Amino acid sequence: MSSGPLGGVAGVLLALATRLAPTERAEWIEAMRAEVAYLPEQARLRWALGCLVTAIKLRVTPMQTGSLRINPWIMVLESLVCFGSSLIACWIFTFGDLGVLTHDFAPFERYLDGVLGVPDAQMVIWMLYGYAVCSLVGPVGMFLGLRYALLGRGLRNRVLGYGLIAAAIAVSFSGTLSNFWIGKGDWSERIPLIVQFTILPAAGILHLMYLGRRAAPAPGDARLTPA
Amino acid sequence: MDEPRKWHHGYELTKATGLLSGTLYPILMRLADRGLLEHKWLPSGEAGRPPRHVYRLTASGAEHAREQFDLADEVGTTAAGTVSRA
Repeated sequence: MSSGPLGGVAGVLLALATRLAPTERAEWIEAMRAEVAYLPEQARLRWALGCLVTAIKLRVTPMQTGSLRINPWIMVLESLVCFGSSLIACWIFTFGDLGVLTHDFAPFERYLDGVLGVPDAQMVIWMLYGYAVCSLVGPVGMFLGLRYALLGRGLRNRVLGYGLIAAAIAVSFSGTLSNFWIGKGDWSERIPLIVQFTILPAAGILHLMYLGRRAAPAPGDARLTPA
Repeated sequence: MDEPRKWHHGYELTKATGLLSGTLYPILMRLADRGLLEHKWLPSGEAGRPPRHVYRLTASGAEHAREQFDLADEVGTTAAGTVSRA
């Protein structure tokens, strides 16, 4: 690689391409990088730009064609979106204002029973315990998402995966049920909460399960041993 | 297609096809995925230079390419005939 400014830019572009390209195509980006050493000086920058374009195409094309394999750092963002709300909810239902470990529910039960006239206030309290357990999908999902981002390991344990999805569904189910119980049964108000606490976490877990599948090697992509 | 079983390197192919590297390599990858192209690393004869990735059509790739050329010739002949009759 040239030590001139254009060579420096080409080097940066090639390094960026290597970072962007999916792992399963790393050999091809390496091939493009190696080719630079054989190019005339004036062709190198253009070649490096082509290498970056190729890496971007390789990154974008699977997204268009439905492959859900993503760059680990995108998983950090996805984890925040999918599990952030449940993580906060888990904290609230465990240690916060409605925390089952820190709160005295006796006055709350009297309020439900006496002021709101809820038929079975004790049941609502038990639902709060249910929330605390089911919203564990937040911290567990966040942990799994960050583990994928750092180590590239998806969720291989199917039982855990389906258990977490069931927990996410249970959050909305019990929440909706308790809402009707208290007497504020309006579906339209529940939809954002269902998205936030069930659909997004369940989608995140399904994605992690997908990422945990063993990937089949791409046909024709086997690296041949140098002669 | 003059020498379908000869190994070619990427820069040579960009010059032969007129394609930019950012266009050529995704095509090479797709051809390889479909078993129409084979590739290998060729050690450099010169010290300090990395091994070079080289490519050539597989037997089925060469066959497929010939079919495509024949098809293109056929379409070209038909089109020329249609234009001359018009």
